[in-house]
Amino acid sequence: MIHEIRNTYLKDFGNNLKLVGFANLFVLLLLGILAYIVSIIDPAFDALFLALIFGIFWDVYR
Amino acid sequence: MYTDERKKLVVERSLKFLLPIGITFYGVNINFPYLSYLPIKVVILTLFFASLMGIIILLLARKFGVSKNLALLLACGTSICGVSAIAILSPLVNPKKDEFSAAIIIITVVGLTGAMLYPMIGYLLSLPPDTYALLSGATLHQTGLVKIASKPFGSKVVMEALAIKGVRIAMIALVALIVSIIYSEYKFYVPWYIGSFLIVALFSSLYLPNIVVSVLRPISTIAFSITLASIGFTVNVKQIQRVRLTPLILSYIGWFCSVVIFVLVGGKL
Repeated sequence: MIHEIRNTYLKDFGNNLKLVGFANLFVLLLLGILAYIVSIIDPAFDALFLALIFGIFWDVYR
Repeated sequence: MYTDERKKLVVERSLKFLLPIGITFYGVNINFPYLSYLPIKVVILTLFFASLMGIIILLLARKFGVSKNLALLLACGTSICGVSAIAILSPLVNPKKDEFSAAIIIITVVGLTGAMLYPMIGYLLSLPPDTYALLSGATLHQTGLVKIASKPFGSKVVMEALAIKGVRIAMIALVALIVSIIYSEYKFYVPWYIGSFLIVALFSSLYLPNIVVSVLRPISTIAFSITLASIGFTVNVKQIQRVRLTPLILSYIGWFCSVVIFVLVGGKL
């Protein structure tokens, strides 16, 4: 398993990070954290569901 | 910046490096000792009603021609731990983006309906606190919803319902292992993040102090949330509408049947 993590995940980690782009990653991180905070305030809304909805509407309204 | 190709690349890459983090750390949500705290009858009933919901959905999905991947995501989401189960199983099943999004929205809608109706069912049928805790813990989709639905009946019911929900969450460890073996290209291949998820689950249940668990839990949720936000980038509402209403109706039927059976049989046990 450690061999697989080193050869597949960690090897491409830097490349993947660059390809996603730090600006995109920052927006995604903000949306993810916002979803998490809302889900803490009101547990009726699951953070993962909110993040998906935020992602859809971010794409529509940006 | 956001051409279709670019968006696709962003999603593919973020799935590759964020989803494994989310899956691995989700292991801290699993608490195997719950299985020994609860009476064996409660554990068996919980597993029975959770499996019943999943089996009904799988059978109906086959009859009504819903795709195999979507049916599996809906069945696991309904019977285990809602959206988190869908997120964990998605890299193993490889559903289309619209199926994945539809599964998450359907599970949330059905779960919210349950959270609104359960207190009413509890009062109308005058269910004893233990039975109500079993009903909400064994048949509601998400942990947050279990908390909301059992809150009007007092903190003892909330604790009991959450412990019962913990039994269902523990099921994800076994289901993820089975699904990864069934869906793998090679014989008995289990992806590394499922292996690490199982190790973290076991380790956090038995050895990790609560403070470490409470730090790792948000990391898992935020990593999952970022991944889902990136999937949201590539999916539009029209694509999700293409999935149609059948899967939503199936999920409602699966959940409703198990609640009816619970009220008829489970409450008397």
